Amino acid sequence: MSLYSHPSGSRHKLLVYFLAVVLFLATSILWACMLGPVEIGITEVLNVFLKRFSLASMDEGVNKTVAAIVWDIRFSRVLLAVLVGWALAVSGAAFQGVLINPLADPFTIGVASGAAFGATIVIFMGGAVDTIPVWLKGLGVVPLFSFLGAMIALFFVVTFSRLAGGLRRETMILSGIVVATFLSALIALLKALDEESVQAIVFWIMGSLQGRSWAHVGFSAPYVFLGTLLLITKSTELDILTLGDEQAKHLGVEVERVRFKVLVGASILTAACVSVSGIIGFVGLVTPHLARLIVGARHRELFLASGFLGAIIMVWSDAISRVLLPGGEEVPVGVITALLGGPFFFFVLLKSRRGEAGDV
Amino acid sequence: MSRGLPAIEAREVSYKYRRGGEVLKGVSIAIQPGEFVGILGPNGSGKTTFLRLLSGVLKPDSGTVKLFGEEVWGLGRQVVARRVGVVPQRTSIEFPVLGLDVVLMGRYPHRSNGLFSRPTKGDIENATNVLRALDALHLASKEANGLSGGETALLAIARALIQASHIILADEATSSLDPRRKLQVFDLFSSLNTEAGLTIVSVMHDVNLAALYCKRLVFFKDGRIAHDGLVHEVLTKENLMDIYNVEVEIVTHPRRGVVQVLMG
Repeated sequence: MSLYSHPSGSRHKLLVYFLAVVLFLATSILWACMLGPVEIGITEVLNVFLKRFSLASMDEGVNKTVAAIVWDIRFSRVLLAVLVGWALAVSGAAFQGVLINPLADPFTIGVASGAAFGATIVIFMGGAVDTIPVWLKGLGVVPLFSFLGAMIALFFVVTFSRLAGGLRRETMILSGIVVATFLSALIALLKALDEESVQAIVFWIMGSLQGRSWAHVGFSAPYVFLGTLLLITKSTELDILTLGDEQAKHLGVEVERVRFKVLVGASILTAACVSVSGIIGFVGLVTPHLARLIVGARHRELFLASGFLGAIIMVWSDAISRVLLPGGEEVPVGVITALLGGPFFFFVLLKSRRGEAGDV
Repeated sequence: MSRGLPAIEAREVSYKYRRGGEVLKGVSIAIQPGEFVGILGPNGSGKTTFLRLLSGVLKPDSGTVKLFGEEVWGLGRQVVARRVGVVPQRTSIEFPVLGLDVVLMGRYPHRSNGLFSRPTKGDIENATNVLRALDALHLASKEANGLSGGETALLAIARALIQASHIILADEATSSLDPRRKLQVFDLFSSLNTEAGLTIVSVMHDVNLAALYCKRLVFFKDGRIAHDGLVHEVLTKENLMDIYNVEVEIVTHPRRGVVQVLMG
């Protein structure tokens, strides 16, 4: 008998599971490309994809408008949903691991507030920043400033933690609160100064994928890739870190160095998605728990499972946000994820409570 | 490791936590490779702090701690981990990691840091053997966050053992275990000590257990070493009165021939 009688069973079983998830994600992507104000059938969607990947040369059967809707409007948006869901879930798993706190999420240590502040400044300045040249067509300046804001916030969180006695869990969380509170106050101040932009700021912060394009995909994809790679290389160390700093040191882990890298990786992921989508809640909190139920708590598997599940959840949530209201109105996707995530999180809470009771 | 150097050498070590008084006040001790040392003393006498200084988790305010002649503070964690394995007082695990995975973490200091470095077959075999020796193989496939304190302690002991270090520092390693398991763990320690020359330093409250297995006992009191010597030399009525302020009788174990303590 294999000793690896994991919740998910052997590595073969794990492989089958991942294959199933990838297939389901692919199906979800296709399906999401069919949804929208204009009805487009599965054959047409497939035709457009075949043509785009030039597996079939054909002008027959696909009209240009349909192709544009499927490829440029829907598929780019769905891919962005994949990236955002992936990034939120993986960074959530990383923050939960590095802070040894099941309630941590990508927004816990204030990096997202930095992103929100960056975006707010741009919206507040309005026309003034339009003169800044943007190399990615259709991207706008908001994601750039937002990403920058997130990195600046990260810098302050790390600096404050170090001043407060090193990169420890408590100092990181407390510094995060300090930075987030301060930035929230600044955002509130900007809102108060300019009532006209309030709605735009609020709408941005609420999180949405409406009107996003290939430029956004191109902006966020490299960071998502980079952040994920950085985290996966530290997955063994993260496993050990969940035993606490002292024991991790006893086992040979350079705790502060690893924690810094994980912090940077997870923050890059957070910044990569928040800067293009605003603040979408619950995906980063709930998905890692769901993933742990399926593949266990080892970070290498956990990151991958969280990523795929996060992507699936995001694709579905975004699809629902598009079609829920009649007449092309959209519900902010953050509302959908919160509506779905809230009840699920309650379920996780119940489950962990039972675990505690049995822990005597 | 070069021969002739003490496994552990502390010289005039003092330590003070940021809040609170001085915990260690100039402790000096040399422990040779292959010794089996029990550290005893009242709560708050500095035993655990001393272990933390030995494993380089804390930096002494003054004095030096050397492992095989090299100062421990300043060595890389991985280097230290190959020399010293630590069984902590308590391990808490928040996430559903498998027991086997917890044990396999002990191989980390020997692993190359590649992207796809995984435990080898040998590592898994090693872990399985240690768990079997501790009669705890059934914990391998269990989720560690649902285990009892004693079961978690067994995992921590197994983990420290597969670390294959020259020194084991155990802090109350068996205090949450039942009597049979206590003896089992110390029997294993004892055979590793005599057969493989493993140096063991064990903080203990159970004087009788210490007398059964250790060769040398060190008594801490108020941050200083009060008595230090072979078991039968230092485990006396007067010393226990001095250290713990309790009345005891000293007897000889009828079968094992070692000194034992009757309380009251």
